[in-house]
Amino acid sequence: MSPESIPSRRRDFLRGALTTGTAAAAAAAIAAAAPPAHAVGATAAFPFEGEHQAGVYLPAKPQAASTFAVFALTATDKAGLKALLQAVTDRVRILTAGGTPTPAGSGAPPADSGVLGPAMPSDGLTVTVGLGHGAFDSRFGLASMKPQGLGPLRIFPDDVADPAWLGGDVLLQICANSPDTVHHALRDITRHTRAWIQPQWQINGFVSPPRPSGTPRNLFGYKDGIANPSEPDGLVWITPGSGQPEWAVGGTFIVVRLIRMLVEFWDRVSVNEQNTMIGRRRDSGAPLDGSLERDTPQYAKDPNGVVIPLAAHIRLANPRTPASDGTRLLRRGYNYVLGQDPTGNQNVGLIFACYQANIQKQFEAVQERLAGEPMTDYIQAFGGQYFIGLPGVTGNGFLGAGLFS
Amino acid sequence: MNQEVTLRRQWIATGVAVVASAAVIAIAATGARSEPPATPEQSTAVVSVSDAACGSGAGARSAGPVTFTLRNDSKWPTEVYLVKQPGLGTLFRSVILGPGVSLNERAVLGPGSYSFQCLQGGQVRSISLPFAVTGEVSSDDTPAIKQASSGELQQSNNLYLRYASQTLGTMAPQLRGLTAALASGNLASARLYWLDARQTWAGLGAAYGSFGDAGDNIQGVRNPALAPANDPAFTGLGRIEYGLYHRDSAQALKEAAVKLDKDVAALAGQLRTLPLVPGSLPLRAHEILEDTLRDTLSGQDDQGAGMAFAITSADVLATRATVADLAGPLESRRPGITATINTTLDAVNTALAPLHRNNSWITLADATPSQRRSVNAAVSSALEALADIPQLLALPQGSE
Ligand code: HEM
Repeated sequence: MSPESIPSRRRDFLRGALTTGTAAAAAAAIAAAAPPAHAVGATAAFPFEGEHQAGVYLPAKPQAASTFAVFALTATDKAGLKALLQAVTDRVRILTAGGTPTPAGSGAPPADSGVLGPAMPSDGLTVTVGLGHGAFDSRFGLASMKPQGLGPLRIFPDDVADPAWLGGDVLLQICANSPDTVHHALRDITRHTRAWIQPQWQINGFVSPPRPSGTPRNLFGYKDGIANPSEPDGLVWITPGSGQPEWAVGGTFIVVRLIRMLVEFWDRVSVNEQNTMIGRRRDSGAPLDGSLERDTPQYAKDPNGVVIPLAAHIRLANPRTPASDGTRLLRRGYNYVLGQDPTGNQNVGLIFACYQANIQKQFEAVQERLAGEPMTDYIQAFGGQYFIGLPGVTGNGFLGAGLFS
Repeated sequence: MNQEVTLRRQWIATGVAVVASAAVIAIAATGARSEPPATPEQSTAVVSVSDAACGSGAGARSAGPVTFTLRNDSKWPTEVYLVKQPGLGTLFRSVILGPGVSLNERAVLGPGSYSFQCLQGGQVRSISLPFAVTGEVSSDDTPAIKQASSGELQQSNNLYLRYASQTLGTMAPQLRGLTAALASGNLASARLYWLDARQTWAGLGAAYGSFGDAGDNIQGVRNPALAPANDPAFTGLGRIEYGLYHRDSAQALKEAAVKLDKDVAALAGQLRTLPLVPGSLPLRAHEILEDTLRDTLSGQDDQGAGMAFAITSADVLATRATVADLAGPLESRRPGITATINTTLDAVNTALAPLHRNNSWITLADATPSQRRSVNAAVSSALEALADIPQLLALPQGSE
């Protein structure tokens, strides 16, 4: 990190004199995410088939309910991994389409749990499947197919890593309009795949309704998910010639980072300080140099960070310079609530999920810029994993088919 | 009427008459009646179940998915089967419908001839005229499963009882060894004998409740509200395990072992003549490993020895024995099912293999998360396969 960008943390005794970095004006496009028709409601359905998996750019706005269920592979060979991916594909196809389950008849228990009633609605369900680096270890003979840069989640200096929440071989990111639909899908998929995967960690998340309008808020009270690269920006999907294995083209790297938010501490801080830590206003979501949520921050006009401090979260995360343009990533965060901790504080935070074509050039680059940011004192990253989100499925194929051809 | 509540796990038939006539079956008239679906997305038919005619209203139709609304217009609680003719088996069995109640049942009908059967008190009272289904189905048609009878399952019960009394016979020398080791104060040796006996008991497939009080005394069931040391009803293998791993005096444990020996001998004396509930063996076939997962591999059951994997391996043996005893009835309904199930049970043994050398086992607490996951994966995948057994061999309601 260059010395002039050392952020000022609240707890630093010595505030470094922040000198200017000349930030070029960047025309960073904010994805104007208009909701698609029928995004909400029991009949909302997102097609399973496609060049890319759903749950990344589709639907444009994340569904209200989610789970990030991470599994260890208990399959012991390549055939087992293939059988797993075929079974998962079958179930996701059926679940996302919705409809009345085929009756099992008198020789078997019911085909479906019935949690969604006799005719299961699609309810905006998407299931996004990823593989961790463990799928490419010696067990499955796929080492030569391992995507570049796919390793264990990197642990950063201020993290409070908890092994119980780290690692995993298979990600099922299940999102839907309501929690029962998420639960139903997870229960159905695990029922059909028990021999090959076993749960390692799981966390449920939610996206709040707009309060009162615009982008939903996270548990710090801030609108979260405003600025994201749009799909045509080409920063998310793995493309041919990117150095990644052929089979991964059309996929994306999924970084899941579990970040606790110390909300009691945060609530004891003035809103002005909160605003300068984020770089946006808590009430409107507008950047501090603008008045509307959708206004683009103009860092070039404020090179000294008088209005939006140089160490503000949004400024560090995306300085909007030509050099930083390629480091942008797609964020789809979910709030989580896990009860309370031994100190009497709420155990709540953000399931930070981001999608990019390159983990090191995007996620890690952003995270490195954020090192030591003022907000650091109020958050603690404790878990997560890196995954390769598989390419989409067209025709009668199955997820990850390219690994076996 | 004396409401007889039948717990699913009860294995020994009690003295209470189990065959009830239609007239005396208690009706749980809940008032909640099934409404026909708001948006029928497939072929539907309302089928009346009346005293005069079982299944009137089901006419000839084309193949494919269908929802039948079964409506009991009779005065008696009635169970309705959809059967494929001639005598090919049952596609679905309704719950017992009280008079005036309707409910929906779904099936995917392949081409052929079908009838409705109406049963009261477990007996077929009437059969509809066959109706024809023509055409093809694109999706899987619902399989017709030959109806099981208690006579058929009785043979399996007899096989099981023979296995069980042989197994119980091997427990006597193990308990003598246990008693002797405790008498000489050799706790290390006592622990080994205890494990042998504990595994033998598990090998019986006698998880909770299946042999009533006699079984509970042998197994040892803890009162969760009491400390084990202050719980006089906590006896048998569980109590001895607790003592062996919580520094109880060998003398006190010896008394428990002597009592256990007596309890086992008493059960062994009765075993060959026990009146088993006819439909209980198919339930047992999947419940042994359900208990393994719920009570043993969770660690809930443990009284200090940590021998969850050793007990799991014995539970697999018991499951294999039950499946073997049921092989005839199962294979005649779904050829190949026992081989499929045995493959899943083999996978449990494969997962257990790295966790022991002979009968020396790694404790549950010492196993790595990955070792535990391998065992959980194999056991839970076996359970998915085993879950069909009770369905394939279900007896008409009221005849169990
Ligand atoms: C609990 C932790 C976090 C909180 C509470 C948080 C909060 C916020 C908020 C309120 C915004 C402004 C609204 C928006 O544009 O969405 C924002 C923007 C952003 N955050 Fe975070 N964030 C957190 C963690 C992270 C992490 C771990 C990263 C990446 C490593 C990150 C990267 C970004 C980026 C790239 C932007 C958009 C900046 C822009 O393009 O203007 N955030 N975050």
